[in-house]
Amino acid sequence: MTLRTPQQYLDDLRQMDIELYMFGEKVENYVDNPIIRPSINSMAMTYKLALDPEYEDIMTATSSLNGNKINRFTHLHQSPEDLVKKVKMQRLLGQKTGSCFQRCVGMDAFNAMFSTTYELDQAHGTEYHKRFVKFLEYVQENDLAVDGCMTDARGDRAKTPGQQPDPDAYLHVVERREDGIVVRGCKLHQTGMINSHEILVMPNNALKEEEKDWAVCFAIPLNTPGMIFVYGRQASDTRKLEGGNIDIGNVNFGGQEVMTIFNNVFVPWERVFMDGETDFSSMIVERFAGYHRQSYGGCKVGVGDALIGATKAIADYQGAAKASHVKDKLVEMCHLNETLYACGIACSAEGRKTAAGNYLIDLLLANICKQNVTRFPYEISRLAQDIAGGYFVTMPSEKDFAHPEIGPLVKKYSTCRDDVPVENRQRMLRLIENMTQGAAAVGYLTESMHGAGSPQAQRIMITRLVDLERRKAQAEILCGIKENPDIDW
Amino acid sequence: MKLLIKYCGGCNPSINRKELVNEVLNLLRLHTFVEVTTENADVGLIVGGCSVCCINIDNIKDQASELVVVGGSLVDYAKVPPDQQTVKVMQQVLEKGGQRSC
Repeated sequence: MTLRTPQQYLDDLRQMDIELYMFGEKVENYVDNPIIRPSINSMAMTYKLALDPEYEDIMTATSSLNGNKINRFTHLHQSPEDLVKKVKMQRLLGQKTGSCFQRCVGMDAFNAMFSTTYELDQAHGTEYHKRFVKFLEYVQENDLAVDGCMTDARGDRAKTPGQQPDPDAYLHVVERREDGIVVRGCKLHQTGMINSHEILVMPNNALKEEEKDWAVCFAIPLNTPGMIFVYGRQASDTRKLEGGNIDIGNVNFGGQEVMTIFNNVFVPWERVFMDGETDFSSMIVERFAGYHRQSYGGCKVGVGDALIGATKAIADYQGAAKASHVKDKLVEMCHLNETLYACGIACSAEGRKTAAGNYLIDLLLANICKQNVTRFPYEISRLAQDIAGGYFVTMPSEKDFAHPEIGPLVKKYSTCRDDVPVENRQRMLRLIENMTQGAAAVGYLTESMHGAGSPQAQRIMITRLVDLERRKAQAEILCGIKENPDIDW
Repeated sequence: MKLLIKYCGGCNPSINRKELVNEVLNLLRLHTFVEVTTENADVGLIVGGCSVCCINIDNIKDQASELVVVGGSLVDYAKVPPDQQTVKVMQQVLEKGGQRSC
């Protein structure tokens, strides 16, 4: 079996016996929990579309490992065309879910780990690549969702992992045994963690030679003993417990971030892909971050499409669609959104082959893409809120609209165009609220800012990757300070 | 006529691809017997949602004798008004399949 159905995926999650906490209580059946389920639905969409002939051209690929048809989320990119299709797939899923669909982190980790373990083995004579390929074959064969797990708790930001007063501030090896290693630490902000089958752990940052215990990569099943999960809150999350489906904004879909604690967790050697090779930790981080910065040129664009659509709709519903400034603001939203897409496509089209054989995005353009993503969704959201007007933050609850006595009055004074049902206006305003400051804003805004690295991380990479001295020399030739060697006629 | 249908991935379609295909099939069936197949087709209908039409046609050429390529509002790379697209696609399929519409 290489393509799972959404139902099979849900069945997998139901069989997971994990230690999960939310609101100070242990959660037993998380699949049917109304706060968690929308995020599971988003992940399930990655399975659903792969089986649909209308979408299979970008949702599936041919495995480079065994030749089978697989979900693109488990694929090793084999060409720039594959990298482009990845971005298109992410845009599609952003449109379909209007939220973070969570499966990208695993895909980006596979591609970073595949090429890095290959080069690591070449340098150190180790066998991590072979182990990793075996793991990835298992993932592809069973169409598994995998959480690519990088961000540590990090303690005092002025100190490196080895300098922290609490060494657990960064996940590290606490014991090496004949049969494997034992690790302890915590990874924060883990997108889609409990919606995954497996966890693929990577180091958080570049490491010094003496920080070998923190240079560790491995994969374990979600239900490994010692794993503790604490569900992250989202704005307006408890609206999902109120029973209605208007005030939640997005009726079926949502994102998920989880605090993930590794409390003395055993990892067998066959699942360890790095142990102590500090000189390759920065390569993993740069490549994973690069792929993930490319990802945002697809997924955030898809969610942007949904927000632009909602903004167009509310302008129509409220009778403002013909105002020239509204039309112009919608154009500006599209301009910003398509600019992000252009960046995602550009860093893909300029991708290159790695020594291991899979393709890596152009790192400079991927960082430019993400730097824009830290800004443009905020501006798109500002324009959406501008056009929507203030009612999406002052509107009474859906229960007030349904109230037998005040309901008719609330509806009367919430009506704009008399040919548009007031409930349509309610729903669209709540969707805009959901994406720009509610539960989905976690993914569309704050994740755009900090996910795959905060803005300064991209600026450091841009500084490193742009050759300013060459540009200076070109300018000196143009203005006559230096002789122009091209002028020979 | 044996007809192969291949969709693009649909990341940003400017047309409703499935609706177009259903309408084309309904029209075709007024003129000829249509068997939808995945190989050895008389005609391959490539349905791209936008003008990029990013499907790799080289991979499909072996599966169909002739191809009709839809890319958004384009049919065989020429712009067609939306209200005429279904009929145009149907005509192209019949023509390339060696048949004529009434």
